[in-house]
Amino acid sequence: MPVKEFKIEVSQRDERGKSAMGRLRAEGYVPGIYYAHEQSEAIPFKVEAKLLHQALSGDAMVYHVTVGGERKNVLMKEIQYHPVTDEILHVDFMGVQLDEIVEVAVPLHLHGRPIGVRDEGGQLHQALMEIMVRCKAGEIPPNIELDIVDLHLGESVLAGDLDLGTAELVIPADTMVVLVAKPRGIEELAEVEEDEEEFVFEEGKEPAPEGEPDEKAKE
Amino acid sequence: MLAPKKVKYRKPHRGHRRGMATRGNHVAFGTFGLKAMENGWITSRQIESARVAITRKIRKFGRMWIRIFPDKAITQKPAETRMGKGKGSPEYWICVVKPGRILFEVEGVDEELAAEAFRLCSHKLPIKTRLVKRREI
Repeated sequence: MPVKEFKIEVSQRDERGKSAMGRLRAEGYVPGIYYAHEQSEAIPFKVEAKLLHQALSGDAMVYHVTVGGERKNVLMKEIQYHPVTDEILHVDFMGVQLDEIVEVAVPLHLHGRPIGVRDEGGQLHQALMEIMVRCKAGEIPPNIELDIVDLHLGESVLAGDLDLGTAELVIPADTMVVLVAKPRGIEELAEVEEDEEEFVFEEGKEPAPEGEPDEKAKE
Repeated sequence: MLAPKKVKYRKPHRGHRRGMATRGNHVAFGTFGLKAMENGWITSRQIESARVAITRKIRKFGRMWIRIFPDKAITQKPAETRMGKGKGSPEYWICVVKPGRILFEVEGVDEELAAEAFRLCSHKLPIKTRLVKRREI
């Protein structure tokens, strides 16, 4: 599978610390750090936030980055997000050789609506959203495709059943990925109705009609 | 309604609500989540009411998760009581919510249905909320 690549221009940064990073973010940059196995020292850098969003919206797994005048292949090892606004606060780039074996989480994409859901009244349970795989950095699949149209009620797909190409599975092969199960919704709805009745019972008294104040209020 | 089975201390201090959610701030189980944009106290009744609103909307199509739990007891003194004579008795349970916290998650429904379910749910809550999607990577 050919690797989709994305070029990211980054510039080295000398600024350090919380307030300097705040200024950097206000200018539309995202601070980051580059590190690699063969390199003893990490290199701090800044990258344009717009460019980083473009890179993330694509399906590339290995990115070409120019750090300190050198062109590197990197993996996005970690991205820190703001808890409220979800803006990117910091990014970690890990330098890799394209023939180096790495372990990465690859997104799982489901295709189609299972027969079990469409005709048999089942409910789709997706247990894993990403699959951990081991492969060469240059051969990381952008995503794992899974066709689930033929799944009947009670049937499931295990991790071992996935088509990973040249990649190797890291998690146990008997890990459940997708299941079409019997819905619990109907029982839950009955429970909801019961709860509502209970709630009225707990209150114990009807609300006073408007215009008739409580006895306590009269006092 | 949600409530702890037992607690170490029955009458906790009121505490503070400054800061943002450092945990439970991303969609972890479902596809869509309802994120708190303000801090506040959410009572077990409000959580239950919100749960009913979501369950009614998504019916049998989807699944939902409640990501908060009311583990803090709130005490009240009886009406027309003089001050003193110790702290009041525990009356209800609340969950301290900080901005960024994911309150509910749903799966197995499209964005339109999730948005409608969360809109109804947000009317039951005392804080501003926003729909968020699961992040990839």
